[in-house]
Amino acid sequence: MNSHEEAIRMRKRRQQNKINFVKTICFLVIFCVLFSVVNTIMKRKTLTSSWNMSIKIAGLANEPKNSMDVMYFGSSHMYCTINPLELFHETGITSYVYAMQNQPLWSSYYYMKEAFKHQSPKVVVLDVYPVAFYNGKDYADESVNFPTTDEIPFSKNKIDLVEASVPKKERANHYIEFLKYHSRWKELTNYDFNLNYRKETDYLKGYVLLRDTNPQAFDENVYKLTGTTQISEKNLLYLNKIVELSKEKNFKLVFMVTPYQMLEDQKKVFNEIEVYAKKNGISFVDYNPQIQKLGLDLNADYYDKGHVNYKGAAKITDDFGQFLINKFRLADKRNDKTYQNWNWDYTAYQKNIKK
Amino acid sequence: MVFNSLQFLIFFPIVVLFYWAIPHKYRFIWLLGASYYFYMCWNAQYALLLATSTIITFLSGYLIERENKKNQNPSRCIKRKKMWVAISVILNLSILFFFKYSTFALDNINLLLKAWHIRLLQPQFDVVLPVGISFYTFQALSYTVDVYRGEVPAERNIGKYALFVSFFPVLLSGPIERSKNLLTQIHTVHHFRFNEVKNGLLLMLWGFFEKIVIADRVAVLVNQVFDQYTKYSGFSIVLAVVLFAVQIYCDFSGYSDMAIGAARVMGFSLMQNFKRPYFAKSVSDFWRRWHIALSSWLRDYVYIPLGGNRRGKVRKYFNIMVTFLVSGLWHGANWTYVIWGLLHGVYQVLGGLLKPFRDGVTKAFHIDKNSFSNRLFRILFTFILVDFAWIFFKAPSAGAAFQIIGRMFGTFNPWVLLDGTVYTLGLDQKDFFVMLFSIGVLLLVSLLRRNHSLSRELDKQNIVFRWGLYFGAIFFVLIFGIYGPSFNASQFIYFKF
Repeated sequence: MNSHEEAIRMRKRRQQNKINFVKTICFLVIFCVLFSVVNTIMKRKTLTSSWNMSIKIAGLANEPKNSMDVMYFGSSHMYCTINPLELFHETGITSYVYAMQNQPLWSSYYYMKEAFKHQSPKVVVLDVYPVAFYNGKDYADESVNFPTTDEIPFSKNKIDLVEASVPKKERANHYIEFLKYHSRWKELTNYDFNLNYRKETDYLKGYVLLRDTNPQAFDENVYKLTGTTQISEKNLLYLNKIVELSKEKNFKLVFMVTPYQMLEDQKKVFNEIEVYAKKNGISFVDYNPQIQKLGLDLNADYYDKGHVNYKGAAKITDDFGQFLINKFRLADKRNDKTYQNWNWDYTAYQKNIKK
Repeated sequence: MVFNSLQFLIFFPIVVLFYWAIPHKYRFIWLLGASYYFYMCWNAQYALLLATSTIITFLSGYLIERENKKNQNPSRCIKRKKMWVAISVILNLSILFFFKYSTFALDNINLLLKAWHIRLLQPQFDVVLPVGISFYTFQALSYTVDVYRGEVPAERNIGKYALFVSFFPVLLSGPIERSKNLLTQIHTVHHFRFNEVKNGLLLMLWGFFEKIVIADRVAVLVNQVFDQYTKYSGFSIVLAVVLFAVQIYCDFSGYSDMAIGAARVMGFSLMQNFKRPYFAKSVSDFWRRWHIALSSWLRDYVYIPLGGNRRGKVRKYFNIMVTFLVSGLWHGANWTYVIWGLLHGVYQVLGGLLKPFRDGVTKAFHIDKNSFSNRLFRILFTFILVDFAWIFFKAPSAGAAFQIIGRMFGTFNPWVLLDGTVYTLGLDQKDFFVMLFSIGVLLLVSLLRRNHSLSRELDKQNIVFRWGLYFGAIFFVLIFGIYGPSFNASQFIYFKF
């Protein structure tokens, strides 16, 4: 073979290599696109009912930047108790509930960090029920952890969230949810094919609207218990982190205990948290001893022993609004044209509850 | 680390990228490091065993070859060479015996002692079976014998030799390679060939399909029936027994395909390990198609040294029985495997004894041996024999195997296949359908592969079809594969608070 032929062959091979390289890249790109589509379809999501948590959590990123004056974090106690639309209607304060069922404190800390990517609230309200609920435990179970991490987009903060919330062996399943959710193929419904749900917003601003009423009989003696229980190590670590964050981001903290049937052990933890709050100059609001003052009706205002329904929530929200006004100087945005849609959302909410 | 793990999905691309990026001179070092890392992910200490076997066999090769170079009389030379072989074999088998069979041996000795009312022996160690030990021990031993037979020269580079023993694609589950093939390839310079890499990846994908879509899915049903066999009878057991044949094939052949594919991505060509074994027309044919690496190993290093078929019929049958006894024991330290091996031996001995009779029948009835129906019957009959033996392979104990067989033949209830009972055996209707569909694909591909090279056929198709097929296959495996933590909707159902 002469050198000319050799040169042609070499050129051909180089050209083929280039083509193969481009083909490989194309293949990988198409794969990634397809994977993200399939991943979204297979993912467990809650888009309907009062608990459309996927939209409530993913939707925060779609709210106008820095539009929230107050944000609430914590467990279901938080998202059932304060109704941002009611608060806006009464006081003109904008707020958003960024909470998840049974969410432990360490997860809430990273939820705060996630929220601060979009919002810079002046006041942060933290539901401290999870501190009592998880006192002494280091991890919540996976039925809490998956919903908590599912809708947080991949980022450094998500890695931190997973590391804090999930035992080491299970973490991979939270970085790549597909490992867990691919086996959902059997129960896919039309909702699962909604690929755009992450672009939606929640008109209730994270609030979970509960209509049903179940009469309760609470043991009020628990609320009078004195004595404290130590806050366990991991809880304390994250309480401290949250206090630090409040200084760094310059927001005021409020610890809240919502009205529910609490246990004696939990009350003792709350007492300790109250001491902690005082020491750190944090407002501490416990609504349990104030049931009568608020006018909460055990027969009409409760959904179950842990949560108030929308009527109860409205009463507590009205009171909390007064607290916010008295304590912090927050602007009344009811007549601000940029926030006009809050009024429309309130009207929609009113219509909804009258249905 | 196993192939079907997240770790491997990260490990493999890194290994391959570096492998192709560095010069040939250093590749064996990189692969050796990767292979030991691969092994140590499971248990770091046991890498010492791997290294020990490597050193023993490496030295044996060196010492055997040295005898050739010495100026000594031939009979003394052979004697000394035999001594080195014996030392290598004894040392390696002792390690294997200690880790794999000592508990089994002790249990059986104690059974005897108990029968004679003698004080029982207490186990001194809690032995964990090192993964892959049966595979790499056999691979390393073949090197000693091959050097002795003069089939390969002794390896000079211990690093390259160590890679031969620990090459990660074959380390845990074979195919058990020979030095003539693999060690030679470790020396060869491999050039990056796009098509080879692609075909290697496709073969791995096929292996994943067999392993995690079919084998692991079928396993759910098979395990449920075999574990709770007292609850089932008749056709439920028949179904499980037939499906176990599918499971073990897909499990093992799938893993082999992943190994062969992974090696091909790096330019290595490994031996074919399975050749449509359930289309075998006799039990001996089955063994030419099933786990070929092991059966050819046993043929070359057990059966033929024993005399093979050159010393008369009786001796041949004896050799077959010994070979299959070894095969049974190799598969596991339990009487179930012994019986399974012996059963395969008996099949072949009986087949040999009955051959004149069978030939007579064919002649008398003018049966065309090559007619479709005749081939079909032979295939079916062979499958039934092989599948029946699998019962012993799968059953937790020999006693259980006999009970399972009793329960299988004890009840005639073909309706369980139709009345929905099959959906209560661990796989619901949807999973069952996916299983049947996948087995259909497997069958189709097996038949197509008989006369065609599928990768070549694929290359002829246009890119839309090919890529459609690739993506379809990838996502089919990703979605329907059994892996990761199981999803249980009820776990989330109430979890509203």
